[in-house]
Formats: sequence, C-alpha cells, structure tokens
Amino acid sequence: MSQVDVVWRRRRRRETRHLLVSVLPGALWIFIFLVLPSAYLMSVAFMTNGGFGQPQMPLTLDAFRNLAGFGFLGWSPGNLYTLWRSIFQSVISLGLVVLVAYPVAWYISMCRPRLRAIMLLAVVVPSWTNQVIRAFGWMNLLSPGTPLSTLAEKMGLIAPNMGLFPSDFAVTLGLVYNFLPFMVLPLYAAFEKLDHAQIEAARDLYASPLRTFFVAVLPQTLPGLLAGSVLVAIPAFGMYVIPELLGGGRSQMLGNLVASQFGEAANWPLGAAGALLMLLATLLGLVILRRMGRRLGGGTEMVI
Amino acid sequence: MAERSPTAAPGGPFSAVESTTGSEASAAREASSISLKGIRKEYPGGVVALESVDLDIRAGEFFTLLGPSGCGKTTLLRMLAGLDEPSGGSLSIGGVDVTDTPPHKRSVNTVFQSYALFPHLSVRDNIAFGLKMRGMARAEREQKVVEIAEFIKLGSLVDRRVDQLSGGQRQRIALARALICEPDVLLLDEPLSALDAGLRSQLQVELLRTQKRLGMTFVFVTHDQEEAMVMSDRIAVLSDGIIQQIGTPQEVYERPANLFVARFMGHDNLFSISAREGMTVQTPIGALETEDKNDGRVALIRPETLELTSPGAPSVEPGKRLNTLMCRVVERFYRGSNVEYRLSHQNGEQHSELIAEISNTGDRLFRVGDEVKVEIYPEDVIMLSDDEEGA
Repeated sequence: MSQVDVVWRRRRRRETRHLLVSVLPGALWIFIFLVLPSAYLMSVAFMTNGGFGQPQMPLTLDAFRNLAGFGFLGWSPGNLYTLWRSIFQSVISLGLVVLVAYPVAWYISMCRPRLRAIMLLAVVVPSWTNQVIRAFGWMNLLSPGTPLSTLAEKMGLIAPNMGLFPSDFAVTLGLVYNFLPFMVLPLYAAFEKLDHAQIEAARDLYASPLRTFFVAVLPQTLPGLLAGSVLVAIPAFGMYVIPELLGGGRSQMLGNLVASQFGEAANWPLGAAGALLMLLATLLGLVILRRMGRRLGGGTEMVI
Repeated sequence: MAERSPTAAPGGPFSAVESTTGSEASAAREASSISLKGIRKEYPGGVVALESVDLDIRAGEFFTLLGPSGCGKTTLLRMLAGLDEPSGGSLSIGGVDVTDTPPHKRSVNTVFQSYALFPHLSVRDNIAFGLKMRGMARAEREQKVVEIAEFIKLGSLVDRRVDQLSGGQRQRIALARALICEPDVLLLDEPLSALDAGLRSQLQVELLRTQKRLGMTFVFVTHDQEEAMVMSDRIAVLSDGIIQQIGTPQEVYERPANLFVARFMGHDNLFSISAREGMTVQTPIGALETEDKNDGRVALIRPETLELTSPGAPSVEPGKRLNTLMCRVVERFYRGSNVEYRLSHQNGEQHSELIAEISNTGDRLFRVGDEVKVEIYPEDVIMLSDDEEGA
C-alpha cells in the first residue's frame, strides 16, 4: 500500500466519521420519534381490538372492515359519511379560501410597500392566537341568539333558534378563516413578482380583460396557488379542533374519528386504520397537486 | 379603421413580400399615420411625464423617440399602445381618434423591452396569440405562423419552448408575435437594449429591412443616439417630457436645435459665447468666424469638421478665410477607420479642450505631445441656444 493510499484512506475515514457525527442526531431523532411510532401505528392498524381496548394479536383486517362501516350490528355508512365530510369540507373550504385569498393577495401586492407590510401582518397575526381560542370566538359570534344567527333566521336561512353554530356551515367557516393566511402568503409572494409586461402584452395583442387574466395573470400565480392549496387542503382534511368545537359533534371529520377511537371509543386498531387512511389520502392529494403543477408549469417543478 | 379584419386576404404582406414594391406597400398602409395633439401626462402626485406634446408621424415612417431615461419617451409609446391614458390632449391613428380606445381594440402592436413572451405557451402559440384573440381559425393561424416564420427566418425556433430561447431569439419571436397581427403601427420599446453589441447591430439591420419591406409605420424608442440615427427616417429628441427637436438623423445630428440635443447626440466641442459682433463670436478658444446668422449662446463645432495639419503647413483651402487655432495633442484614440484626437488649447489664461475626429486616410498620424494647426470652416461653427425651451 503506497503512502498516498494510506493518506487518502485516512482522510476518507475522517470524512465518513464527520458525516456520521453531523447527520446521526437528526437521523436518530427522526427514527425514534417519527419512524418508530409510525411503524407501530401501522402495525396497530392490523391488530385486533382487545376486550379492554388494548390492541392485541392476531393480525387481521378487522380494523379496516370496521372503518368501511362493518360493525357487529352489520354495515352502517357512518364512517363513510365522515370520510366524505372530510373530503367535502376540505375541498369546499379550499375553494372558498382561494376565492377570498386571491383578490386579497392581489390587492395587497398593489399597495404601497409600507401598507403592504401592515396588511400582511393583519392577515398573519390572528393565526398566532391559539386555534381553540379562535374557535371559541366563532362560537360566540354564531351561537343561537347572536345578531348573526338572528339575521340568518330572519332571512329564513336557518330554522328558528337553531343558531349558525353548531353546524357544517360553522365548520366550513372556521376552516376558511383558519387557513386563509396559508393561501394569502404564497399567493402574495407570486403576485409580488408578477411580470406586468405579460399583462400588457396580452392586452396589446387584443385579449379582453378576462382573457388577459387567464393568459397573463393566472399562469404566473399558479405556483403560489398550488403551494397554498397544499398548505390548506391537506391540514384541513385531517382537521380536528375546528370540527370538534364548531361542528358540535354532528360534523365529525376524519381527524375526530381517529381521535375518538384512541380516546373514549377505545378502539386503537380502528383509530390507527383511520390514521393510515388519512396518510394515504394526504399522499394522494400531494401526488395530484404535484402532477397538476408539473403539467401547468410546463415541466418545471412548482410544488414542494 | 380601428380594427383590421381578422381574416386578411390570402397572400398577406408576409407571403407576397418579394412582389410587393415599396409604393404599393405604403399605399396599402396610408391609414397608419399618427397624430398627437397637446398630449399631456401627469401622474398623481404632480409628476409631469409629458408636457403638451404635438407630434405627427407619417404613414410608413420609421420614427424614433430618442432621449435619456425618464424623458417621457416610453410613456409616449405606451399611450400609443393604449397602456397609459393621457391626462389631456388627443391621439389619432389613421385619422381616427383613439384617445379613449382600450389597447385590445387598437390596431397597434408592441414589441416590449423585456419581450414579455408567455412562458407557459409554446413559441408557436405565442406567435399566433394575437390572431387567436381576434378569433381567427386554427388552420389559418398555423398558415400565418408558417408565413411569418419564413418572413423573419425563424427556422426551427417555432418548435422550441420559450425557456429554451436566447435573448436574440426571444426578441425575434416578440417581433413575429407583433408583426403577425399586421397592425397599422408597430411600437418598439428599446427592443435591442438587452442584446450584446454584435447581435444588436445585426438585428438593427434586420429590423430596418423588415420595416422597409412591409412599409409599416414603426415607432421606435431608444436612448442610444447611434441606434436612432442608423434606423430612423425621423427622430424626435425628448427631454423632461418636452420634444426638443424633430428631424431627420442628419438634421438632428448636424443642426441640433439646442444645447441639450447637441449634448445628447454626443457633441463635446461646445463653447459658450461671451459676445457677438457681426459674424464673429467671442469664445474661450478665441474669436471664431461663423456663417450661422442665428443668435446663440453656445458655439458647436462637430469633431469631424476639424482640419488638422502640421504647424507650418499651408492652409487646407488657401483662398478661404478659416478659423485657425494652435493646439497640442493630449490623447489619441486609434479606431481603425478614424482617429480621435483630444486637443488642448491655450488662449491666454483660458484653457480649453477640443475633440477632433479625423478619418484615417493612411497619412502620418499625429502623436501625443505634437503641436497641431486646427482649421475650422466658418460654416461649421453652429450657434445653439442653451435654453432648452427654445426648440
């Protein structure tokens, strides 16, 4: 072995050690606190529910059959409703968030720089408050007898003395309110670097205002829109606090189902199966958004 | 004639180029003259970008708006496009008032400084965009794209993606995208400023040829006086929102209307006049004979009109009374086709600098430190007002 070889080997060993030392803590952390629990959760999903709510052998698919609605009393659509409500609520609230956030972000981007900072703060600051507290705030605003509820009653939108809370409507409202900043910020970032020359080029080339929007504005803001969609739709899908508090138990979403199985219902395998479903649905959503981003972005990576 | 029919006759200007003579082309485009009357632009906050501009641009003309940044030339162009609204005055294209016509209803197209191609569309779709917006059928659009690609020799560029194009290629696509609409007027906002020198002069020639072949009215904005002179039929020099001078490149260069124009056209031999007596003016380089009857505060001597000889040599035109100065060569810049000398002149206490541009005819060149005799024809001493309003 030549002298050079020895030196080279030594250096290589040192580099390996250096790499190990710098990466190991993080890797261990992720392994112990993310990979292991996830693996455990996944294995629980395939276990049987014991008499005292403890997961036990043998391995079965009972939890998934349970999740699909087959219980000891036969089939019931309850869980499917919950799944459907999760999808429906996250899609509807995503749509509403986009409708509200798009003009807001556009408007902020057109303000004077000083004003912009203030308006962005106004959008973001409420989200620094605890979600639960804000949900309680909405309860106070929407309960039966409050001005808003009375107004809705007078207009014949709701039955007398029902109040706007608790309801599916209150959940949607809560989700839109909660996730608005997550859409406004990426959209604002996209609007801030908007190439106005493209808008002018479209107008110059005979595009009506509406077509100008679709040709010159929307494509430019698409990265922000998709990034915002990921930030809104995916957490909304698994949302726990808002449906719990504003739905009043009648508007359960998947997150509530999972939580209750780990809590009062004491069916860990079912809860784990629900969590697994949530994870899969989330990944599916990400894949779809990624695909969309790639297609619309002309091959360039746009989301994540 | 604010809007052209979307279905132009088959064999439009691009397909029948070789057979179209200049006069035919200009006859077909007689509706493309531009007239601005009292055009003003004032931004909120009181900043005046344009102060009552009157301007007539003839049909088929290559007209350039020349000036430093912030002079209002781009604002003026944007008003022609309809992208900015004038605060006052009226604007007509082809005799039709279009002051309040929105951009998408004007038969005017723009080549933007940043090109502003749509990155998510293919090059082909970019070029055909204007035709699509006018509702032309797909097959016909494709045909037009083929014609224009042939016309400005785009070759295989049409099949590329926008992000695969270089600056020069983008520029040509932007030109194709605007030309394909066959507008009455084509506006160009510093379209060559982002390109390197070689490509720039090549595209200057191409652009000029294109304009001549089509006989289309081009309004070109630039801050580069050489580019303006090379390209234009006429130039309007702007400063502080005011037109300082309108004229052919020769007029503007050789007879600048005032000090600003002279400076902007690159003139350095400017001498303030302290007194005038008949046809003799007193300047820092001594008394100069002039043939310019205009009263002026500054004398301009263009560098290429200076005659340089050795101190003892006979006059370049012995029969004529020339202004003669003795100078010393301070610097020499050899440019191949010509040589630029920086000369210093001492007139008593007064020290002045002159610049002489001598075409290189292969004679012996003067060296730094040489004493030279400078002769100036009286007709080359031009009077300028230093008052910029005096245009």
